[in-house]
Amino acid sequence: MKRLHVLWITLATTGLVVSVYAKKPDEAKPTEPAEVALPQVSVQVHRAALRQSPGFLSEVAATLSYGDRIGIAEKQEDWRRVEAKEPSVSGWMHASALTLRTFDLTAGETDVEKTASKQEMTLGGRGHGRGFSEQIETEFRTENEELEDAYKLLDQLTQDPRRQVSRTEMLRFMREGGLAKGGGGS
Amino acid sequence: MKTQKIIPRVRRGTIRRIIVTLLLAVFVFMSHTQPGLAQFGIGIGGGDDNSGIRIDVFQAAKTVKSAAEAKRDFTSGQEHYLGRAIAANILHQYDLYTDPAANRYVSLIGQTLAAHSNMPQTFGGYSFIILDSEEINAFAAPGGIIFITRGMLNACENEDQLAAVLAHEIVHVQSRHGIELIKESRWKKFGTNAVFLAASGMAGGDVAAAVGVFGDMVNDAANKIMTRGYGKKLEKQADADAVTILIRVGYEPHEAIKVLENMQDRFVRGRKDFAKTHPKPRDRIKTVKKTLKGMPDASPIPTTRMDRFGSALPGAGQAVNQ
Repeated sequence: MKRLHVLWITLATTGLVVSVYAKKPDEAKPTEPAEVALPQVSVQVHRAALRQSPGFLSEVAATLSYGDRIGIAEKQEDWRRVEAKEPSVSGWMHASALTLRTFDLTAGETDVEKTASKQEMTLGGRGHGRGFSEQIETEFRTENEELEDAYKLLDQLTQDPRRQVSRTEMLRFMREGGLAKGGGGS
Repeated sequence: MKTQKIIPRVRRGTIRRIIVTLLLAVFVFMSHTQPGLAQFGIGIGGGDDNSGIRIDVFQAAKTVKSAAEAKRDFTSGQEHYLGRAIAANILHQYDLYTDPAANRYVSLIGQTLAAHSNMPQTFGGYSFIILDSEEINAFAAPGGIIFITRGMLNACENEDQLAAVLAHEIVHVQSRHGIELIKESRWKKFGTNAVFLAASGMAGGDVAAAVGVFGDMVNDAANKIMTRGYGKKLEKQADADAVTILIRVGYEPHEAIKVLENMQDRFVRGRKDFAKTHPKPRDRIKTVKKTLKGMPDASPIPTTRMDRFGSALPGAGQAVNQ
């Protein structure tokens, strides 16, 4: 009898816990009252610019890093107005830079900012000192020595500032070429 | 109590097992949903991750069945490293065309288009690189590393045609076509390996196995990108969606047809180029024409745009039989 009780209690607890945790976060509705917590998402790109208005050619209000948790306050097509607590910033981000996943950046890896300048980015990889993907790349490179020069060249090329274009440069390029301005990224 | 005595020993054991299983299930479930709890060892190497290869009970337990599922499971970080390996393979096989003005010009067009695509930001950002090859070709590696050959630049007569080529490649990135090139069997193997890794706390041998699967994935995708292309269906999508990006930026989308005609004119049978990696230009022209149906007629390209093309890429767009 006692055992049966334990079984029923366990079943009830299981049901309760599962129903609480199974609740999926919903997309934000602008009409939600302010006291309701905003649906949380994570930044899934290395460095993400928060824009003052929806559109890629809008001015950058702040920059967030990979794994940062933010709340969605408003939607406009593919753009989301997001609010971050630490630091307290808000602005517009393209939905493709956001994910519902949660990333755990533990002690060794929290400082994405610091590692950004390094050739290899150190991300994730709880408790292993460096990201698992990065570790796989390192092993892959060791096993494929013939690709080493190509990898070094690739690092040079992808970090070459002349291959990146700032907002101002892009606006000038578009203006000078008689291209559309404003909007962007739909 | 008498009832308790009625329960046979075997059954008591069963009840105990049920309780333990349920409690374990709750724990696993909470670990999965709650990042704080996930630290208790279920997700090795990144829990919900992006650290790399995603390993957790849920991931390991299922077999990835479709490209859509694979795309959902593949994180932006993993895609980035896969793309780097593919790009390294491309750089290993081709020489670099280092002309600074040409590279800067291609980057300006490419980055402007990418910013107006459906995936303006990727994990590591976009890069546009010119390859020193007579081949008429362009490649996109997952995550946004895009290559274009000198032969392809020469096949373009103006900035809008070059933009059409780059926009096509950007669609491969924004739609994450690279992941669709990986054989199904790799995903299955990967799942098995993840179980192994999770169970043993990622010992050296497991990493080696994971690297093996990673290498196979790279080979699948790199070979297809360089020798066979993304396949008819994805190439068609790239042609159609490129038009959208071109229009957003303000390029003349009808030029996409002209560049395909130029490619057809320059076609050399048996050469390792776009003829092998893309459907026939005739079919591609049909796709673009269909997409452009009902849109305003072609308008002239401003002289400033024509001029800057000529000064950045002298020699491009010259008569065919050089």
